[in-house]
Amino acid sequence: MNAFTWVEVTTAEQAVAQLSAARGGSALLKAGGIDVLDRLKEGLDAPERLIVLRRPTAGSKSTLSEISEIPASRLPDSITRLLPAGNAGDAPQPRDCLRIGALVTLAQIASHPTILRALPALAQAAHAIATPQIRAVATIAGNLLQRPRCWYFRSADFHCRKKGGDECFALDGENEYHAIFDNRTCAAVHPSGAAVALLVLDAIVEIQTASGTRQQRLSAFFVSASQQGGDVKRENRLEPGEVITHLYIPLPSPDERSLYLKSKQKQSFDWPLCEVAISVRRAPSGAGSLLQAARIVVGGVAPIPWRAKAAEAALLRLSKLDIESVRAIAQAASDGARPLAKNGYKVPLCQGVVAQAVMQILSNA
Amino acid sequence: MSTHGHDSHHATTTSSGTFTRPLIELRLRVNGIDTVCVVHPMARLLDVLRESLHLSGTKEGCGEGECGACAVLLNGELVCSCLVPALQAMGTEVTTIEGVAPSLATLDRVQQAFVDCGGAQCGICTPGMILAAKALLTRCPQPTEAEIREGLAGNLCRCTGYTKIFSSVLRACQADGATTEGGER
Repeated sequence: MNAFTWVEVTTAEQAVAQLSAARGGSALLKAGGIDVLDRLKEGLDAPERLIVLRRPTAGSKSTLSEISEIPASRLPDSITRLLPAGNAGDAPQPRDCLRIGALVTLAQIASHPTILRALPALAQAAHAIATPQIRAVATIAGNLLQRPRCWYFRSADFHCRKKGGDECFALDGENEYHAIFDNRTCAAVHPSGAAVALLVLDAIVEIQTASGTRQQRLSAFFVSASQQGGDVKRENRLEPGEVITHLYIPLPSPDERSLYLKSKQKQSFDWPLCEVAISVRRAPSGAGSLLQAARIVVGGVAPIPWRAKAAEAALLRLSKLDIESVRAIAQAASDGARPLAKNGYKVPLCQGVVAQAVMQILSNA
Repeated sequence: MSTHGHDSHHATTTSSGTFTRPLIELRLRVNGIDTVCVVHPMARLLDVLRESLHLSGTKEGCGEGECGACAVLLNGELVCSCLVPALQAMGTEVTTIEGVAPSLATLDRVQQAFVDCGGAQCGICTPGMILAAKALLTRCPQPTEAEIREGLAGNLCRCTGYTKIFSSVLRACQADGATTEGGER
């Protein structure tokens, strides 16, 4: 670990100011520190200043460490305009939202009554991450921004593309845990389980910048090397010096459901081999299909949380739940997969978790 | 396993020259006692407890948050003390295994259950297991066996004696006057 200056701040504005004050030198933001400490120890990051964003001391309140319900009438226009439209082509409708501060821990999310009741995919995803010890400290924003867990990236011995090198060592190496989609530049999978759930829930991310705040859909936040604006050295569109402050999640209507499933080698405390979050909105009775909206996002299979659009389309066409239809949806979930030498098993696994999620959510919906 | 390797990481040179290590005065409350110690700012809470305060009940296993041997309660939350820099612990309240028993003569009910059920084998994981069990029982006083397994998921037992550890936690719930049996609520 290199020597650095430890700077404590309690607001996003202070954090941004401190990050930009490091002009010419390097600065790194730390919240829970679960990923950052690992990277410092391995020498993957060697900042001159560590900007430590802390919860304010007891007594003072900060929305950064709070979960609150924001009624539609009090929702800022900057968030309302990014909400999903009720029907395709409609203007976005104001909706009640849940606002989650960047410093809220995974343990808080996994046990929050509103999240358990209304946004089960998120509670399930948060609960499935790591261990009680880690969830008590790890923050939601840190979970979204953690760097990939590819063993070549994590080892100082391999100067891979993510670190400015010109090779992805996983492509011809030990790649059993790597990506099956969009994997030709960098085969690391995106590490955030919470992101998979937040994406099916249409979450919006709010970001503190040097000049104010900006908001964007989480669906436009993660970017792979092959996508427009992508950079193999980054996993998202957070610019240097910016800080995530809040997530806004529209609260579902009574006809909407969500769930999250994770396939792993150990019963608990394991990274996913494949994980899926699904959200559906029932069609009114008498409609030709069962659902009027569906979203499927798969994790552990691509450099970003992977939207399974072909499977969503197949799911939307579903008129009755039978094994043939589920099989077709599952097949569609692996459309475009190009597995590497040792991760071919992820293709049927991806199909399997999607099939399980579809059957589970439709039998409960 | 020792802090030697950790310290040596800091004795590096930077582009600005040789780095000398300034020490900090760390104030925290450990097992109900206000404590001040002079430590390296990036010493781990684990090092502070073991090396500065000589509370060696907290163990180091992996040193990277995977084994739970170093688990302590920090402001009531179960954390891995190997992942908490000293500066992060400033002003906090810490409970280690040494602070669990109500008196020198009496064990905590979780500790007693580990004794009664043979939940402690070689003993390295036991302090962390007991603190994890206490954290679990605080938020979930009558856990099912599945909840116990999940609550202790961050604590590895190198003797692989998990069955007796789970039995110990179930016994601790019964000691509370409840009727938990065989994992049923």
